[in-house]
Amino acid sequence: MVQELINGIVVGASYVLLALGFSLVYGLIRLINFAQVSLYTLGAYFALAATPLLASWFPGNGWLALCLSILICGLLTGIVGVGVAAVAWWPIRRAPTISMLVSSLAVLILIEALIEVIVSPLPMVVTAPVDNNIHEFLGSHFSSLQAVMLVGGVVLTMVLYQFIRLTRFGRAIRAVASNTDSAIVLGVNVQATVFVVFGIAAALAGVSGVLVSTTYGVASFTMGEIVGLKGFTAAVLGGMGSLWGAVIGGFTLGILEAMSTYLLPSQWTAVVAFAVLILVLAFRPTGILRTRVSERA
Amino acid sequence: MRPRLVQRFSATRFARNPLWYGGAALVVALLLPLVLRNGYLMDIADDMIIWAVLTIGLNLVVGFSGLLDLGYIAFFAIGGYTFGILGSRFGLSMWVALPVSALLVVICSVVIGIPTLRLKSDYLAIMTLGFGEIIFLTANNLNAVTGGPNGLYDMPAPRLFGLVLNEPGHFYWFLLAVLVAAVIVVSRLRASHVGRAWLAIRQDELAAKANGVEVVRYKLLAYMGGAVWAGIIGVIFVAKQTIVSPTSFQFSQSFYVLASVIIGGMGSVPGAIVGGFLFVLISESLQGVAQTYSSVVFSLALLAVIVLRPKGIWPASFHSRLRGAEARPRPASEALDRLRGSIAGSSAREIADGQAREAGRGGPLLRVRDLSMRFGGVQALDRVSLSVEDSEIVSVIGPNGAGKTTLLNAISGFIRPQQGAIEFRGRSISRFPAEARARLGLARTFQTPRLLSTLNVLENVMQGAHIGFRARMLSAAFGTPSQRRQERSSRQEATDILGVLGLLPAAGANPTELAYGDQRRCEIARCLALGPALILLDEPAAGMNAKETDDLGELLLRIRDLGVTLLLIDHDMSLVRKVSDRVIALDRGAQVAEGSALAVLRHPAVVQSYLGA
Repeated sequence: MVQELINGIVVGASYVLLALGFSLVYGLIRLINFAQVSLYTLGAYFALAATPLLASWFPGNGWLALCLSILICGLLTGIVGVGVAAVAWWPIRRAPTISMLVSSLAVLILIEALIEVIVSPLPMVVTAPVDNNIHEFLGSHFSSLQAVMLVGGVVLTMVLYQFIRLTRFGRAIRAVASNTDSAIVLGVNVQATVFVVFGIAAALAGVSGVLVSTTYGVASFTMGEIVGLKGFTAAVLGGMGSLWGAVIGGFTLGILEAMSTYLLPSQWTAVVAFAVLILVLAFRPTGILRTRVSERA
Repeated sequence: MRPRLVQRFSATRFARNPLWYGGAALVVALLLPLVLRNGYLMDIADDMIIWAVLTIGLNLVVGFSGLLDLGYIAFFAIGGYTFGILGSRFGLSMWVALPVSALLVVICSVVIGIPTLRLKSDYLAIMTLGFGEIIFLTANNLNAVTGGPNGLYDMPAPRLFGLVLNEPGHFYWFLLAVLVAAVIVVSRLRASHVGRAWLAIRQDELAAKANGVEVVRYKLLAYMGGAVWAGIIGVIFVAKQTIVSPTSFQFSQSFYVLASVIIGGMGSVPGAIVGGFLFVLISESLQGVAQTYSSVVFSLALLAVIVLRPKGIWPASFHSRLRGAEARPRPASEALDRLRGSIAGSSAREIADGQAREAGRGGPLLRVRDLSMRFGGVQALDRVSLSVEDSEIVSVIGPNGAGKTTLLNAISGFIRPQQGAIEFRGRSISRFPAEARARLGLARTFQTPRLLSTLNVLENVMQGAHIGFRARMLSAAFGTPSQRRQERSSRQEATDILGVLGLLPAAGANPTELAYGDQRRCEIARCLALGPALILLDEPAAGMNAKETDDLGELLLRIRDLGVTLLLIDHDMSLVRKVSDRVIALDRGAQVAEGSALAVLRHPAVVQSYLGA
């Protein structure tokens, strides 16, 4: 029981990061940014190259190399995310939503395909440069990397929250999210805000990809598809467009899934997430926090 | 400069009828196997047709109705596995699997569609994405039933007219027949009231509701109607492959069908065929050389099309009609008489009359009591009461922010007031959604015209006649005689209305390219097509010059003479004075004066509200 709870919370942290990205972009321009999913994958593949390189630069200091790798890969995916906005959103920002959805989907497929072509269509083994010790907690076990994943997710969420609450840019994001027209009148550079938010969302997804691939030791070019669906489910479950909604939704979904392993083999967890999505959309589409249009970010 | 022969040819009637081109292409397609005589090439031809049918089906969902379905391939998979399971485990033939698959697909689309289609349309994208993944996971993991990653084989080869179909060439003509059927059915749907309703939903749900379209129901019909094609062609695909395994149904396949739809042209049937053919041709030519590059190529192509040519290779035409449904313009006086008759006998009138009889009450046509609406700190309506008698023209005036448009939105059902009652023909409609009010004969125009650029002017008016159509989707798909009759009479009626309003020369135009005044008249025409008892007009004279406003006044009086009641709001006092039997003045949400135009315009409270205290 405690073991499932631990597993669920750790996996939930990766859903939280993805859900935050979905929620941020959706809150701003009402777009489900499918490309997010491929940036999660991209983050994992960046780490595949960066972590061993950094580990060779800092021999004997694997933890430093790993932390640096997480930061650098997050930054790189963030930059790619801004590029995605430039390609898939900027030229068609006045087109109907369906065109934007399809273009972000095209970017998702493009990035996955590029990984498949350039790296390999086969799953890759990811090795962490650290001693992955097993710790005991209330008669259950967790690994050092699982702890890193949870701490990473929580720290990043707090940083994001303070960034949005305290900085000038955070205020701009909140202004655009609550009323784009008034934000323009008040002199907010809406386009720059959207670009930055795409970048932040991408960085969150990238870090999530790094953490998951490092902790579980494997990466593949389609690794984002199911996880992306779960991240979106988490965002809807908590309340689309709300940061705390993403946090609550992510952890709730992780725990629900871990508990479901009592009933179903683990390859069916996607079915659990999907069932949750159907039930939420059917009975409470505003999510746990009941987000309304005017209460976002 | 084109050669003269080509010029002369393109001027002929022959050249302008698309049926000839379709026929010529069909003849070529029929003779193709005699020329190719090559199993491999025939296999590619089969795949092209299969993919084109998939694209046509998804085009119905995405292109016509604007619903983003990202799990379309799941229905293809359901078709495939239906035959796989029935065939390999029970030895049943493809002909049994076809109807079973169609039924399963319909059930699945209802289960997925009903909870999702009520919500904002982007949620459908995620739900369908999830559905696709679930079907794939099930196929891959439920070894006992689906054979897992290895799939199922040993299905009996189908027989047709005593011939065993077990080679690609054998399937070709059969597949071609399915493609032709898909083209005919989907084109018929597009040319029917169902297709017009779908296009209206895709472009402007509010306008669709104002015309009485039950939006959720029609979305479900589209989702289902598209899915059925995938279910059918999935069965045939597996019969041709002689094996069914999960790799054919990955998420990327859904993406490829979607890319084919958009690259071909959203909402365009020939575009869907071109898009589908292109996909198979390109991925076949990349086969062997660099197969993994096909996803790179298609995602780049899709991005390029969305950014550079959003309507696709073969853009949808906004003209469409059933064969033999052309209408002839009639002399104005005859058109007017016919219009009077058709409005008096419209289905909206019939329904409403029946209900009025049941309610057993006379009284005014419309009665509004104590209507209050507050937006945050603004009291937009403050206990407004009014009534409108049959065949009256009532104007509501007031300065900006007086609550006029809010009042109109509340009456037509686009907003829910917090308080108050609305009765229409003796029956409370306070709880009715907008489309149900339209079905009772309550039509409206919008302050900024909401016309559909995907339909021409005539078809926009016919969209307005939506509630008059009794035919179901199936009879529209098969073009039954009664459906054709109705389509013809609706087209004639729309032509009459355009004649009465002087819009006949613009019948084939794109309505959003008309002059502003013409757009407003086009909206009124659309209201008349509904067969209304009452039309609510939201600032019909806005943006018109003095001459146009004068003509509009004449028109409104003529419409009243047809037995239609009008409630209008406007700032143009010359129009208000000219047409109104009664004027009601609002200020800051409250009613300040009521009476004849002259009396109200001189009322001190009205003068004060306009000039300021």
